Amino acid sequence: MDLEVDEGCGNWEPLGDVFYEKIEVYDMDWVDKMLKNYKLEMAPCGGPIALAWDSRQLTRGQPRKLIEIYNSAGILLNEIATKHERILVVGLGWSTEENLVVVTDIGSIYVYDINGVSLSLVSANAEIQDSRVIEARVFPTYGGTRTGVAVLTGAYRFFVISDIASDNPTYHKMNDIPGLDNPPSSWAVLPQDRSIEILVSNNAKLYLIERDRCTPKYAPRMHLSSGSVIEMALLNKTLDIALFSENGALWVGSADLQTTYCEVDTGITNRPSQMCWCGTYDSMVEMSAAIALVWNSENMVRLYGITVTDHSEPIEYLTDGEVFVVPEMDGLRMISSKTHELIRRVPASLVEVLGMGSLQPGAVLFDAQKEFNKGSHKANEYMQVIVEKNSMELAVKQCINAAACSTSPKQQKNLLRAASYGKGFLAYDNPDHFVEICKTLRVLNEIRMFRIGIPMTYSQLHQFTVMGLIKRLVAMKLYCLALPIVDHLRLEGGKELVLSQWAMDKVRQSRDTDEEIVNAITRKLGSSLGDVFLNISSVVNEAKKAGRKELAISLLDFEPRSSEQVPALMRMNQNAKAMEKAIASGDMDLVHTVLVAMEPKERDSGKIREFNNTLKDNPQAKALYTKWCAQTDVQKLHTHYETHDNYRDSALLYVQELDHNTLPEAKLKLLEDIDKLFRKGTISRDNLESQLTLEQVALIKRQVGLNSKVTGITGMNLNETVDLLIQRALFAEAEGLRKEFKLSDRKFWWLKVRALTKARNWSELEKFAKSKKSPIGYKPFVDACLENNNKAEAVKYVEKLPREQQVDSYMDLDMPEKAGEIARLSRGSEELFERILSQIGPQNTVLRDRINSIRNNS
Amino acid sequence: MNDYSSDGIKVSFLRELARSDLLDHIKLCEGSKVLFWDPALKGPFNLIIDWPILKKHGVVKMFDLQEHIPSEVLENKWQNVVLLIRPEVKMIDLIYRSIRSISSSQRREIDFHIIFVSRKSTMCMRRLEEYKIVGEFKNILELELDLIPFDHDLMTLENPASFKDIFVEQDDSCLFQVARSLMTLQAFFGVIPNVTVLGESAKKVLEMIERMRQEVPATDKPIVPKIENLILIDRRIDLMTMMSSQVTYEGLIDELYGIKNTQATFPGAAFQYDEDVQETAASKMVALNSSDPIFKEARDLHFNAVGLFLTSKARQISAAYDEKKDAKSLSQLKNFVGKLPHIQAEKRALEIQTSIAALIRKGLNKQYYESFAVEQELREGLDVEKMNTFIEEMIYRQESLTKIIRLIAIQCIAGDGLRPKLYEFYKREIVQAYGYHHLLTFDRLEKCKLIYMQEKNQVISYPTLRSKMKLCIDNVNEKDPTDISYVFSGYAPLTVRLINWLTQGSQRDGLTYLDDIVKYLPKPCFGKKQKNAATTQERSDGEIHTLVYFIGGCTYAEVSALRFLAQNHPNKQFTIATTKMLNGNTLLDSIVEPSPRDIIPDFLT
Repeated sequence: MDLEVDEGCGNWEPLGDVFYEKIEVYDMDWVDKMLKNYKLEMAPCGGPIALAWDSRQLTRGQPRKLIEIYNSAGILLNEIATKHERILVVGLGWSTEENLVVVTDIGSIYVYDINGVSLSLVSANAEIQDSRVIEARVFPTYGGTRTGVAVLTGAYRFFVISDIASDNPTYHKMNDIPGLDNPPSSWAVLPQDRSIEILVSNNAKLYLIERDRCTPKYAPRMHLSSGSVIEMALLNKTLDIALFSENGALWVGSADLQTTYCEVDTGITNRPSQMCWCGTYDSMVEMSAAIALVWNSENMVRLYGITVTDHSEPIEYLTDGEVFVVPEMDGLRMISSKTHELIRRVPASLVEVLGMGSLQPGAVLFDAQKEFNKGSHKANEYMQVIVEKNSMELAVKQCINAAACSTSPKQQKNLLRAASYGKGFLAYDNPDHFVEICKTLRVLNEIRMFRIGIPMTYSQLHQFTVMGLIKRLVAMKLYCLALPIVDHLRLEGGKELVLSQWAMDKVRQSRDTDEEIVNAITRKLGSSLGDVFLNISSVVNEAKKAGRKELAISLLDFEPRSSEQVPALMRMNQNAKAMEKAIASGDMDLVHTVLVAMEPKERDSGKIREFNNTLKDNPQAKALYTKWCAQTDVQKLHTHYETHDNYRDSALLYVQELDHNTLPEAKLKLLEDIDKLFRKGTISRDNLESQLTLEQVALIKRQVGLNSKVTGITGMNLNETVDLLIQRALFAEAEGLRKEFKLSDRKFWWLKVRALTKARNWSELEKFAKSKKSPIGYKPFVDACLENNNKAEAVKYVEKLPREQQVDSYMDLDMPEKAGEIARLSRGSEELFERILSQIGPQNTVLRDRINSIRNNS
Repeated sequence: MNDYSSDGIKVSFLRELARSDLLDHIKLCEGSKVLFWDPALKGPFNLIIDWPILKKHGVVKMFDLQEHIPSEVLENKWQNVVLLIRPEVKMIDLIYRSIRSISSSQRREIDFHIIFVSRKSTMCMRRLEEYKIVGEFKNILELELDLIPFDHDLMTLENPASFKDIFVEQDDSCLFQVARSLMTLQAFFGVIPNVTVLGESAKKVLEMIERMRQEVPATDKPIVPKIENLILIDRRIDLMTMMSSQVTYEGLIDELYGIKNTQATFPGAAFQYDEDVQETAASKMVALNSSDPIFKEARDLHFNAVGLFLTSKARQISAAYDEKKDAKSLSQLKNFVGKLPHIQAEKRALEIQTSIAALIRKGLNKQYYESFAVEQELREGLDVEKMNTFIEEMIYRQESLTKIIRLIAIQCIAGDGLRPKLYEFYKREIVQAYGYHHLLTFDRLEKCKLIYMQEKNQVISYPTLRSKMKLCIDNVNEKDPTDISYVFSGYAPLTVRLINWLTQGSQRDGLTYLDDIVKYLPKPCFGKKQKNAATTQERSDGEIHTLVYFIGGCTYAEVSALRFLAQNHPNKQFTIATTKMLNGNTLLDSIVEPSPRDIIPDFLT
């Protein structure tokens, strides 16, 4: 026989029209473990193996370590010892999160992680505790997202928990089965969408029980009806079930027992040690699954295809000693005290290329490459066949897919070599698929290493997902392997997961000093910080749990999200630091959150000092606090300014409040205080403010004196006061103000002119104009008269203007003729005349002519 | 006309975002809903959503948030009261009074909800707790609405107090909002590779966005940046422009009538061209945006060019109508009828704009021109160290304080501060004429460096900037401008001059080019490349997109100047963002301490 054939289909065995192969995976490290003394449960997809001392074997020296956890190569990972004296493990299983679920004889459920760390405990009710649990099952619920537990008590009652990780998991009693006074011959849990049902077999009868119902079921026809079902195996995904009866019949069909897929008489009536599905498939359309039956007493495992007829032969494997079988999605694992073997249906892609006599393009390409290696001309002939059929692309694809399904690195290499040989003949080729498979195989081969012990197949990895794999590696603390895999496969979010978990572990376990740990973490992050988003908060929580507060605080420095960092610091009473970080974030809302927390509620001098110092050091926080107080509690703001010797702001705050104090006496008192505060300020401009304040004091005092003569004068400003006095013709009083407040001539004249015109006191205005030469000219007189609609008066003052201003003013007064005259007298420019003319407009020809004549006279 | 949205910078996505957010929130309340609006939010939301859509989603009525719940709500047994507010303490106070106006048994009949725009603040939550009314609300939600698209090239936070908050009160909340809005833009348009920081608050914003980017993990495939440059401008870089009187068409409408959320209200009597309408409304609200074909072209013109433009448009339109006479054949007539709706729309728009232009011409009285001439002189540095008699007389005449402060501020900025005697003079005169409480006004003006006393070692920068950056230009052509200085009749906004330099095609790191200018600008000013930005792709047309973010406010004149730049440099494309559209008056409104009595005659309305 050819060597290559040997590594190809040599060990394939046909079952119906498909092949099964048995692959030796490992020689177990546990060397001759007496497996029959244990219960064995292995997590799917090459997961860890848990061994628990079988309570039935109680008599013979029970070890102190109740449970042992191995990798799938039988290397001991951890042992779990129980503190309690007498714990009997009745049920065992792996949860969907790959935690170990242990059910004891009193119904307590212990959950451990893969490292043997206890995660949770669920206690049973008194009824279960009293009657004791005699059998227990752990099973996936809610479509495989949760984990449930079902127990059978010594009183032959069933109790169920549908989600052991829920907030308050409790056992629910299932309906009793009438006349059940001995242990049922077998039972299986059927997790439905909303409820859980249990199929129970007793005395040749089947019952389907729910919480409030018990439905007798008629066993499917034929041999089964004549004997009770002694073994059941459920396929969760499709809800199909296999039943084995005491008269050696195997029936496979739908779980509602309505549809039959096959019935076989096995010819063996011994109770099988185990029955399980070999391979789970998405649909029964692809009816190529098989049922494995284990008879340890016969040293034999048999595989029955579910589509084969009664007459076809099962595949039979002989075993050496006790074996346990563990179902996988593409086959089953067979664990014995010596070896770990995988039995699987040969994947279709492998059959295509390596199958005996296959004429698929992939097979031809594979052969061509072998010939090419030998230097044989046949290579060319084979290639010609593929090229002629125009199926090179398919050939390459088939070889790549076959490589993916192969578990032997040597075979993978040969297949990939063939693929790459074929690629050379393609005009255009997208390398993505090839690269992807190479990368994945690299990872699969790495984790299959004995030390790691995760012998996943390609399809298992596909189902388990790379993220799932990373989680498992991280749970096993294989960070150094997980990190390169994440990098290699560019797994989004993978790096953060690995690093976060690593850091949490480091914080939890390490006895190093805070500084060393922080350094170790930053060193790891050093190259990746910025593009990796480390979940620092969970690391920090871990540090807090480990009682390392200082470490937690230092670690928080690396939290990039201020909205996490600041509250976390506050929870650890690190308010000053929280403030610093809040300000650095620029998020004023966070700053405010810290302020609220820091603001002293009672008279605690230490806290008050801390708060005040924080405000002093952080102007932004101070600004925010000031604003908050101004909006909600002005008194607090006064106190704040006082404590910080902030005289100027304090004074200004009083200025702002002035309006509320209507009584002049109160106002004066407050103004004096304000003045004092302004004086305390050291900057020179405060003197100006003090002066202005004193002037305000003087003004109010004056107004109080005047109030009897002019009601309503209080509260006015200086200019208004002067204005009002002049309007009321109280000239002496106005003059008094002028002197006291040293009003400039210009200002006083402006105010007086405007006040007089407003009061329409034309005679006084004229008297005033003549009193002396106006320091502000006479234009303001003209404008003020005009504003108060008195052209006649205005004209009087236009005459006093310099000629060049007169023209404009006459025009304002709508006296263009006069304007023209003045323009002529002042030898005005042509432009000036044009302006006058344009104001008249083109229609008024009479006036235009007159102006033009004036203009020409010049 | 240049269409900025041509190359993928579509700011309208912000509108879609806010609209779907709002509807999502509203959908949370089952049954009939009544909306109560923070009055300041109504304008912005008008641009985002309209009544029919709200009605479709079960909104039965809308009110302004007020002191009491209208009895209508109870009578009709409407189930939900949704309060939409800005995160301000005074709004919480108002809510407290409002819901306390009905009895607790009545309150139980209604589900109350608060929607904070744009975030739930600790301050407000604390206030609600102090009032012990948190439990009254079924939902307290956030609606993230930062930038509101005003036009295809213009977005604003419309944060009314942004200038005062940042520069007077040192409250940086608004900067955080700026940073957050930039993160949203970057999420859509890619990380902007080149950032130029002008001024302190600009630096703070850059630091925040760098920090925020660290908070989210980098994606494997970053978006190729659609915007190449980001220029962050602290408004204090150029306060002169802010204080100057605008003379562009849109700028003048804003100065004289106030544009709020792209709308302005005018006296209705001015719009009497429509003969069919018997009565004219007291006031008329006009939407001012680029969907108006006439306004779109007129908005950025110098006002002196608007008359000419409108006349020529009128001629074009009547010529278009005349085509009907010339239309001989049926196909020509059909062609004409096809164009008719467009011509009619243009005609209506033209009528409206002509009326507005007439209103503005009336508003530009002698005093406006005199005042503008004084501004011009001051900007040119004429006698800035002396008391200005024009300003003095304005005070004596008790004219608009805002106008006076604007002029003093211009004098102050042009002189790099006021001489102490002069400062004292103006301050005293204003206190004597307008009231003692203006000590507060001056305190604020000083904090934001609008009016301040010159110090002994004052660095003199304005004259250098004026000459080096060619801010003041003589003989500017207002009707057919060749330089951005037309927007202030001979004064070019420093901001836009800087932006122009910073976006010179070949020197993208424009700041090194501006080395001897930078030292005269408020610090810090620097350029930086953002880490991990995807490499930009050369566009076939060689266009370079720049996002300009004015922190503290922006004027319409600056927007016009930037549009002018883009029009005259085919490879420059600008998108403008700001915290608030402002002019000198609206800016000072937030700063001038209001008097308890109405002593300031309001010339502005």
